[in-house]
Amino acid sequence: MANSDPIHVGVLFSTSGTTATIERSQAFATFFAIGEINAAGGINGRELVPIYYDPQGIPKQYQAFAERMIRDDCVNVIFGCYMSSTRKAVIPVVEKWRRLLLYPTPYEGFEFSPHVIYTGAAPNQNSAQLADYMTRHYGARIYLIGSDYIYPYESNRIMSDFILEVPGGKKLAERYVPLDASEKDFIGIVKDIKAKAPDFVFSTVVGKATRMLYQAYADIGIDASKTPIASLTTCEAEIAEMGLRIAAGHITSAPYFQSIASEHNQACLARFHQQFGEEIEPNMCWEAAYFQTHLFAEAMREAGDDAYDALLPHLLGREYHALQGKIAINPANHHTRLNPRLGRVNQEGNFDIIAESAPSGVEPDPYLVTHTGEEWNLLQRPPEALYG
Amino acid sequence: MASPGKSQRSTLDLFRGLRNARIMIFHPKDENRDTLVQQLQRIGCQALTMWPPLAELPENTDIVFFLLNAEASAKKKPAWLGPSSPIPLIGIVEYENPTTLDTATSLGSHGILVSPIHASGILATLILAIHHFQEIKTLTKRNQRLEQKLQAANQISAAQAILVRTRNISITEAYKVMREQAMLKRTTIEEIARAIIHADGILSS
Repeated sequence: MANSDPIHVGVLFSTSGTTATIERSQAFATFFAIGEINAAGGINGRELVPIYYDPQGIPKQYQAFAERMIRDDCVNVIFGCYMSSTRKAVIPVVEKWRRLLLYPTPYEGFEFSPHVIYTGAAPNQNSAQLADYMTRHYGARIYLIGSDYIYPYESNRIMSDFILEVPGGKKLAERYVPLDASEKDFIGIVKDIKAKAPDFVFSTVVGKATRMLYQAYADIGIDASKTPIASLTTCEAEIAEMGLRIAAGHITSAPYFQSIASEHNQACLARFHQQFGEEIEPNMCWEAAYFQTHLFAEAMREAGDDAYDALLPHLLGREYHALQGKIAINPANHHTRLNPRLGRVNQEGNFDIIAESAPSGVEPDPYLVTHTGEEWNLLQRPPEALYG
Repeated sequence: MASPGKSQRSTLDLFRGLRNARIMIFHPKDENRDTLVQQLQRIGCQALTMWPPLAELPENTDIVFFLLNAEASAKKKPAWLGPSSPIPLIGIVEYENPTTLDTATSLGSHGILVSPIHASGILATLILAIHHFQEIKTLTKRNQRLEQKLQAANQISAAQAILVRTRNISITEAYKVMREQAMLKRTTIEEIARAIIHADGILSS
């Protein structure tokens, strides 16, 4: 007799709090994928049912809701988390209950839990490429600014290490603002940036403060085409919030941009907007949340079960044709082979893709500290050709 | 966590060494050893496994992990295992009891992993063990130098005292005499001091 019971899965992203914009896009990407999976007959005829709670960006609430999803709602798999502090809060819970977390966000690396699948970029899939490109095209005198928590500290350390390897590489300053920073927190900082005149600024500011940084940067009159802000997290969602005048010229490193021209990507974007409207801006985290849900469904179809021990072997090594291109889960470290790209915001507020990896992608190496330059090819197009 | 914004020093050095490290693991094959090997490979180290332990370490071994249980410690202790090891040693223990921990420390372990082994914690143990090993090495060298210096200073003042007593001169003059002799004989003032002490010993016996 075929099992026709619905399958409950946890969805744990904040739709309120400082990181709500991105996390809402991750939640809706997950719902979007679940809808597609169900429309295609579910998983072996079983309907996928999301269990959703809003942890409001607070690590303790991620932990409490993860516990509740597992204990009371009987989920085996949770799609969730954005900030590292929230992932760290959920890991002990999934480890204790032998469940699985799928985590669709770029993060700082140096982690492995057997109960996590990491589908966002590791530093060797975004920081390395960004450092390489920026030092080549702009110089290696760098000004670092970040939000005050673990991801920016570690990302800035990684970037500093890359920069200090380059001849003439110099860290001019490293500044941090609170996660709930306000406009005035950036006034002194952009003044200091203007005075110190770095070759580029590396920002790991996340959440609502992102817009404030770029706004203050434009207001004080620093020319983004000469001294851009380079980021690992500033994406379409934030660009839409801050507006074109402020965003144009700045650079982001990510495996996915809406502007990827493939039919596969553009058709999917059209379907998403048709269902969910224009309010949510697809971005790197949205794309990872979307493909990891489909990846899970394919693995479970094969496994016939979503219990950890049955499901995991079908996830490890699995390939998938994602919107960014072909990806695969690395069986040794549970991270994902991705397709690094660099995008620069153009006058229309879209990302022009100015560099990308070879189609074979870049294997994740979450414990990498030095950058070898292998597997990474710059497009043979100078930045000027695409800008303006 | 590194305090942000202070130094221009790259954090790479400790990790770069680690990524090329050749690690010997003396542990029977089981889930613990698999977890350890897999995590070391994720970190980027080269890990070699062996059980029972070898009497001699393979050439170019950088770090050793070794199982420390009652059975293992009862057997003949291999030469590489001890407080004067030239490379970091990390013990793997099954019990955190005083006997086991006492054995681990007296064998000169720079770090300890407790089984069941988890992936998280291995890198931290590894980094701290290497760091403490290097600190100890640096401090031991410095200590040896200081001991030699102190001994020399003692000998010089003893020789000075002999000259003051036998020649009826001041301490400053005694030092001057010794320094002139050292220059004349093209040797160190410590050598001269030792010669004076030696001669005085012979004469007074």
